[in-house]
Parts: sequence; structure tokens; C-alpha cells
Amino acid sequence: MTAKENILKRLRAAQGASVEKPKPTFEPIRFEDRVAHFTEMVKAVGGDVVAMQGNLIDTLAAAGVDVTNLVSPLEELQDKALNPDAVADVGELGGLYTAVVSGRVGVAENGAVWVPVEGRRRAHIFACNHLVIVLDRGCVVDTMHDAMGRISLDGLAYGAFISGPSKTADIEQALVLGAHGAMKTTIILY
Amino acid sequence: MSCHAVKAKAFLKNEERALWHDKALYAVREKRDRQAYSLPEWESLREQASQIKERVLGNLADYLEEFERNATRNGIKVHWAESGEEMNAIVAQIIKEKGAKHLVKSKSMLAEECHLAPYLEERGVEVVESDLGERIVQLMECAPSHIVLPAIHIKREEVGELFEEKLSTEKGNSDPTYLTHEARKHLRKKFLNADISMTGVNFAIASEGVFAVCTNEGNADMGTAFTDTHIAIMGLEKIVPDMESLAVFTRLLARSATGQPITTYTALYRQPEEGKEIHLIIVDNGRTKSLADAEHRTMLKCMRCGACMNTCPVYRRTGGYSYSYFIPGPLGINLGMLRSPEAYGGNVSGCSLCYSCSGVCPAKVDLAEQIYKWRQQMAPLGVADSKKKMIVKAMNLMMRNPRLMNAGVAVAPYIPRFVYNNGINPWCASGREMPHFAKKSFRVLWNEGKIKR
Ligand code: SF4
Repeated sequence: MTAKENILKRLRAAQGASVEKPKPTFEPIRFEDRVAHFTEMVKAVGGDVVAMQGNLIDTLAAAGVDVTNLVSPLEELQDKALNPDAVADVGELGGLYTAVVSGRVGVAENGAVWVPVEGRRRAHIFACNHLVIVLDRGCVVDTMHDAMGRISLDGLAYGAFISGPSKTADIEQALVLGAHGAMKTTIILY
Repeated sequence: MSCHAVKAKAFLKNEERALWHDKALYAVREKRDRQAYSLPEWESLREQASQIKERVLGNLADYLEEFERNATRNGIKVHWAESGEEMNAIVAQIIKEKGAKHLVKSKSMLAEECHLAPYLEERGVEVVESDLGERIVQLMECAPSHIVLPAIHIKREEVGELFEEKLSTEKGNSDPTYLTHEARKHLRKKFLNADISMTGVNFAIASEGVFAVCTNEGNADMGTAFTDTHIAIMGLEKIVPDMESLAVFTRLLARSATGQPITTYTALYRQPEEGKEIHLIIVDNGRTKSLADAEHRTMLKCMRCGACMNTCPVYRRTGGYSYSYFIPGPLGINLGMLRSPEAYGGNVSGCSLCYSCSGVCPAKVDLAEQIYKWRQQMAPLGVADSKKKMIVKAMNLMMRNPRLMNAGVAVAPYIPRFVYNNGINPWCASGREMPHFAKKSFRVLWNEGKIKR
């Protein structure tokens, strides 16, 4: 017998009677002003939120981004940014650039944004210095329950809920931003 | 003295550090409380998580098959391992097939459980821990002392000295921001140089064949993005039924672990990137045996948040190294007993039965009740402390016999103190005095009419 067969056999002998799946018994929290709460939470987790002013490139410049050093799969930035799928080795870019990606759902309760990777590669999202996520303010939901209902995994290789910049408190519980991934995270709401 | 008490003594020698440890962890517990109290549905969420896990445990074989089917359809290569040795061998085999030499890994308690890193190192593979805390303990050549905060027992000056030696950082600079950013540079090189990556799995979603990896640093995602082969390892209890359930667990995990509303990165892996591979190893290593133990199977509901450690007054004051199992605290006491009562029975006394752990566990694992049960099972298992057993027997005899009891209480104040206030008495650990016996017992005072109602 294979390891799998042995394990499944032992499990079937050990697991006992089948148990019903529980029904949700509560109403998740609702926020009066979702976008305001989302903004507050993003800031609480070390990120920033700005509103789109005119076009994307102007908004980026206004937010202090070096617009001459961008990596982005976004159509709008096609002639201003390197397309990550066209870069043979993102690691060689040196990691000082700003990555601009699109988010699909914002979660008010925790400041997370669902970022599905639709292109071939995703390294730029982590290896950048500054991560900018562009998000439709109409796509901000209250909680993770709503978010899970909104996202689709079909056809995706990978997606992540990202809440603020990379961080660690592994040295004496002192919070430090920029452990490995982005040192800064900015959400642009349109 | 139990082995826990002996080792705790060593930890408590450095009073200042012990105090810092206690406070730092309690601060994490308080952060957890603030998050919990900010959600009116917190208790319902815990209940929901607990019931979902009951459902999973009662239907685990079917869920694992469903998960494997979907993951395989997505292009993930699924392997099964009955033991830690089998898991290690599969990992080594994949590494060999790929001709890889440099493995960059994110934190996984399962890897610790199976001693994976030393196994691979013996076979000439460089294993780099990429979580900062794990990297610190790896460079220091010591073990993690907490499952979520591996380096919580180490002070910044020690990290400074370590980095000075290993990463050539500035002499005498122990600023956490400086040190973290130096580690970032050091590890960035390791990421770019790695040819294979490894992660644990926080949740495996049966209905989707997708698995979730949660980190704050982004180290898991960095590693998998830069390498062509990603090996993920999971204990077979990591299943959640569907995305709806995942919502429940992602709401609980980081709030309970570190008092954050969610981890910075909650990554869902569904398919390898074009031209790449994902291997996932489903590991038993004693879990089916635990599932068969009706008394203690509830331990399999654990999502490894560490909240039970942060709240535990014994863990906070004695540190992770006082426990003989590689996972400390209330969780480790229980998992150690499931692994081997003979080897790890000494940890069971490292609990004051305050039940604080049961009160915070997001999956409602009744950790303290479980420890209490183990204590009842110790004698039949033949692993109880023989000295304590003798004393309990003597007390039992006295308390069942009122005459003997009264006579004993009457003479007790006249017994010289050194007879019982000494190192042989297990209740009389250093720094703890046996109380003085009262000259007159409550019973005598009562009979003399000296007690007013
Ligand atoms: S037993 Fe509960 S509190 Fe302890 S680590 Fe597991 S889930 Fe967290």
C-alpha cells in the first residue's frame, strides 16, 4: 500500500462519525463609512491611502514616487513603466523601484487589499521598495467574509491579501517596516 | 523536581531578562485583547472556527482527497508522507532531481518537528531560514523558543553582536531598525541566489485545491517568487473546507497571534507560475494516531497562533527552553504528551491550571482541561513523579482518616522545620518557603468557640 492509502485508511478508522458543517451564527460587523474605516486601518498597519488626482502618473508623482523607476503590468503605464513579464530577471532590477499593481477588493476591517496576479510573474510585488496598489473605492467591503465572496480564483496562479508594508518585530518586539518586501505601501483610491 | 522546574531555574537566574520576557509577551496578549474586543462577533467567530475544525476532523479523509484532486487539477504535485523521515526523504529527492543546492525557507513548525534542516544540511544542501527571528536563532545555532516569535528570548545587544560577527554590521550598533535592514540586505542576496524554496502551509482549502501561507515579512512570497521550485509541507490537519471557512480563520489568526487585524501577506497559491513547479507534501507523522485518541484529538484543531503561550503565566516566566518538547507552553505540553508521555511527561507540571489558555484559543481548544486530563492519566501510564505519588498517597491516607488528620495537624507545629522545609520536598523549590503551621488548627479554634460566624 502507498503512504496515501495507509494514511487514508488510518484516518477513516480514527475520524469517527461525520460532523455537519456549522451554519454561520452571527452578523459580521458593519462600518458606517467603509472607505473611512479602510483608510484608518491601512494607516494603522503602516500603509498610506491617497485619492486619485487626475491621471495615475500625476497621482504617483504627487505621492512622491520616482516615476522614472516604475515596474507595472498596468495598461495605463505601458510606456512609463517596465512590464514585469517582459523582464527576464526581476532580481536584477536592484529593488529600488516602485511597483504599481491593481487591487480588486479592499477590506475595511483590516486594511488588506486583494491583489490577484494575472500576468506570468509576481516577483516585482515583493522585491520592490514601494508598492502602490490602485483600487476602486466601490470595491471596499466590510470584512473578510464579504471579500471571500467577491474574489474568484479561477485561472489564477496566485493572489494575496496585502495589508500594509512588510514588517517584523523579531528583535525585541520593536516594530520595523521593510523586513523583506515593500518598505512602503500606498493605496490609490479612484 | 520535574524537568520543567529544573530548567526554569536556569532561566530565572537572569531576573532582569525573565522580567522583560514576561512583560513583552503580556504586551502581545494585551494587543490580542484589543483586537478581540473590537469585534462584537469575536466569541461567535471562535465558536465557528471550533465547529468548522470539528467538521474537518470528522471528515478528514474525504477533505484530503478533495483537496488533492483539486490541487492536482491546478497543477500542484501532491505527495504523501507517513512520517517525518518520509517527508525529509521526499524533500531531499525533489532537491536532488532539480540539482538544487540552496534552499531558502520560511517558518514551518512541521520542519522543526521532523528535523528537516539538519537532515538536508547533512546532504550538502544550504538551508537558509528567511524569517528574521528564525534566521537569528539559526545563526546563533539555537532553537526557536516560541512558535510565532522564535527569537523572543534574545536581547537586541546579542543580535547586534551576532550580526557583527556573521553579517559584518557596525560594531556596537544594536538598533532594531538598523539590524533588520542589514538582515534584509543579507537575505535579499540569499533569495536571489536560492534555487529552491520551501514554505509551510497555514490553511489548505479543500474546495479549491489552493493553500494559504501567512507571513508579516513577505519572506515566503519572496522565496517562492524567485525560485523555480517551491516545496510546501503541511500537517494533514491543516485543511479548511472552503473559502467561507478561510474567512473565519484569517479573521482569527493574526488577531490572536500578534494582535494585528490580519497578517501583512495572506498568500493563496493555486498554480505554479509558467515553467515552474509546486510540490506539496501532506504529512501524517503521528497525527492519525492523535485523531484516534478521543480524549485528546481536539489538539488537532490548533492553528498555531501562539496565543496560549503569550497568555500563559508559566511560559512567560520560564521561557521556551524550560520545556523539553520543541513546542513550549500549553500547546507544547499537550503535543509533547501526544508524541510521547514517557519522553515529555515532565512538562505537564509546567501548568498552574489557571485556564487562561483555554480562554484565548481561537479554535477553542480546551488546552488546560487537556493538561488536567493528562495529569489524571500519568499514573496509569507509569510516568508520574514517584516522590509526588508517595506524598499524595500519604495525604490521601491522612485525609480519609479524621483521627490521623487531627493528630497530624496537632503535632505539625512542633516538628522542626528542616524536616519538611528542605530540598527533598518537591513543593519546596528554591525561593519558595513552606508556610508555617499554625499553633492551633481551625478545628481547634472552632471547638473553642473562637470563630465568629
Ligand atoms: S492551541 Fe489555540 S491558542 Fe494555542 S497555538 Fe493553537 S490555536 Fe493558538
